[in-house]
Amino acid sequence: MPIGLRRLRRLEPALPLFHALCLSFILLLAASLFPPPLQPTTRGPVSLATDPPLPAPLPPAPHRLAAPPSAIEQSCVITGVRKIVAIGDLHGAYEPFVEILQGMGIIDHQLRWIAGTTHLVQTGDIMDRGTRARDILDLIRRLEVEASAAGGAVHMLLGNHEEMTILGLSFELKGYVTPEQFRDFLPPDRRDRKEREFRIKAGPTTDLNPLWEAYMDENSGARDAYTEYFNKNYAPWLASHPAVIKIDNIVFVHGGLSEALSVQPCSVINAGFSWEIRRVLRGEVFDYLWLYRTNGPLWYRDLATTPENTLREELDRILANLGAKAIVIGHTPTAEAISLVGASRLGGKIWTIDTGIWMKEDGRKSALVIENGRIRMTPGRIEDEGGQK
Amino acid sequence: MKTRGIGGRRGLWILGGVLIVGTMIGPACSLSPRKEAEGPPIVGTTRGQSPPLSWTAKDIEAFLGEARVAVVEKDVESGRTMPWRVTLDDGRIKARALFKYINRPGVPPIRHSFRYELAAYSLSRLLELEIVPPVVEREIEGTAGALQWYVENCLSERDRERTRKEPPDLQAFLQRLDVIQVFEALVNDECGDKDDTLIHLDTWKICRIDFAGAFGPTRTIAPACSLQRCSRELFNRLNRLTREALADRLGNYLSLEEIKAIFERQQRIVEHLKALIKDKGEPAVLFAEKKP
Repeated sequence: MPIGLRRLRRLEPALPLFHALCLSFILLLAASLFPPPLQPTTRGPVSLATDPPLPAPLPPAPHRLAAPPSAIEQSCVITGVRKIVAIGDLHGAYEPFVEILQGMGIIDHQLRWIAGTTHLVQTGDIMDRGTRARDILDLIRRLEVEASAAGGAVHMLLGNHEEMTILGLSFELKGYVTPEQFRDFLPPDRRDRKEREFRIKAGPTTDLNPLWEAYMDENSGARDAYTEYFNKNYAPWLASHPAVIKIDNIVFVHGGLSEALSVQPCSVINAGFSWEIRRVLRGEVFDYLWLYRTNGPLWYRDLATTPENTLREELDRILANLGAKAIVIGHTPTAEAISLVGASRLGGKIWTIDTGIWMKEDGRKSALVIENGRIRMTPGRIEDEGGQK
Repeated sequence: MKTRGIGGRRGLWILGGVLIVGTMIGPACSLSPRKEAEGPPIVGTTRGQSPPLSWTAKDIEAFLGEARVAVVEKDVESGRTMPWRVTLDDGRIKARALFKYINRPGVPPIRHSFRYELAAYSLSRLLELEIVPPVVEREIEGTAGALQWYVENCLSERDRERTRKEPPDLQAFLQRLDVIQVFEALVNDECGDKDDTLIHLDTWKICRIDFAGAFGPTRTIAPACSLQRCSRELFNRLNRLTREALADRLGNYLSLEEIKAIFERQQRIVEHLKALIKDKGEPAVLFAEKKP
């Protein structure tokens, strides 16, 4: 063997280190050439005037390292839609959801899509508080296919409760994960085994919920199994869903968009969420730029809670940035929204559609209908349109 | 021989992997923005009572720690930690408080703990700053947490800007915001957080709430904290602050690493301010704080 080749072979064990050093150097070079934009200091040292529109605080960094966004991530601007039906937070309320869909002529009694080219928007928060989130997710997953085949579409947006479930945080907040939801998202073998065990323990007629609740509270392994099952079977599908969409000139988002965020294209926001959820699912630990952020699109509340007079000018700037005439949000079930009368804010520029569909007593089954340029909030059944609860 | 060779190669792969991960995570951790604040601030509430004017912070602490829990409302506040709103009654005063119980300290990137609220209050007291409303450790319905005085009759800085309300004493107001920003940098919370900076509508006193996500292990000053000025009193206290004093006051709430990180940030803040003084002159950087 030539001496040169022998020397090279002697260096072979160090090749991985050499590769890693090269890659590290390239990454460092890329990071220094394209530093992620920093969150702006939103208060100047002496300025007291209202800040001018800010550059986006949440940088589109994912684009630099992520794979190209999927088709769903790119298609967040949809045009030429004749009729849109939008439904707010569900929180496991499967029966009211079905009732609204049937009442609005979206599905028939066999739960099949019958709405043709209509676009159905669900603005997120299917998980937690209620009992049948899994049934809702399964129904939506099927309706997406059926609607698409009929020339319509189902747009399910991400809500903060989907995010919290993926991150395994819902358990920490008391009352969020009900025993029924916990049972539904356990791995089937574990669920069936525990069900048999509880049935033997409690007898044939006793309600098993207290036992499930105790099992959930006391067994961290079971909680981990729940999160793993959800993240294996539902989260990858959720990761392909947007946080923000615009249909014609109406923007839909779970929590809202701050002025700072409104300058970001929806494709960037959606790609950011999708990319970060996928990283979480791969078990990576990293600082979130999009997930779990108070002023991010899944958590923002100011559009629902800020007094109208205070918000007016800012909202006009937000809508101008978005190129939209109105924004539809869920997340914040204000008393005004629940009354339906106050669902529209600032002359119809904001529609708050979390009407507490999931609430046992105070909520309203409702939907927002946008047809021929006209926007109206209706009770979930057409025959109820006199304002009956 | 072969086994050793493979083992050595595997070691190099691991080392290489560590280098790559370090390269990828390092810059993101140090540069990426962070927003750990809770949901909307409590604005313009009127149902509770303000503490009697004669009450000191210690009196409020005693009230928070001892008054009877009259009402607990669990689903009325917003924010990622969904605090409970608690009404306290000691027979003379009925007042509201906010109870946080989430406790996942040091878990990146979703670190949140009620202990950080207690640490922020202790540090504010240690530095003789009246920035953080009183908060005590208490158990409610069998759950341990931090119970904080509910700031009534106030406006967030964001809403002040939206409504273009001008403070009666602009200089005192700006000075207070500068002091708050130094504190934000010290505890490694978001600098210039307009949602969590609350202004009392009558007195224009300013406080800063929500440190449940503060005290990150970062030892540098966040780039968003563009510290330009500081009160002379705070600068001097920062100069004198020792690691022992920090450990003594915050040891119940923070880990050793978190305390070390505060100390390092404190040193960097002091160095930064000293450099500014050298560059611009002391009058341009340090001020004798006016009380609004």
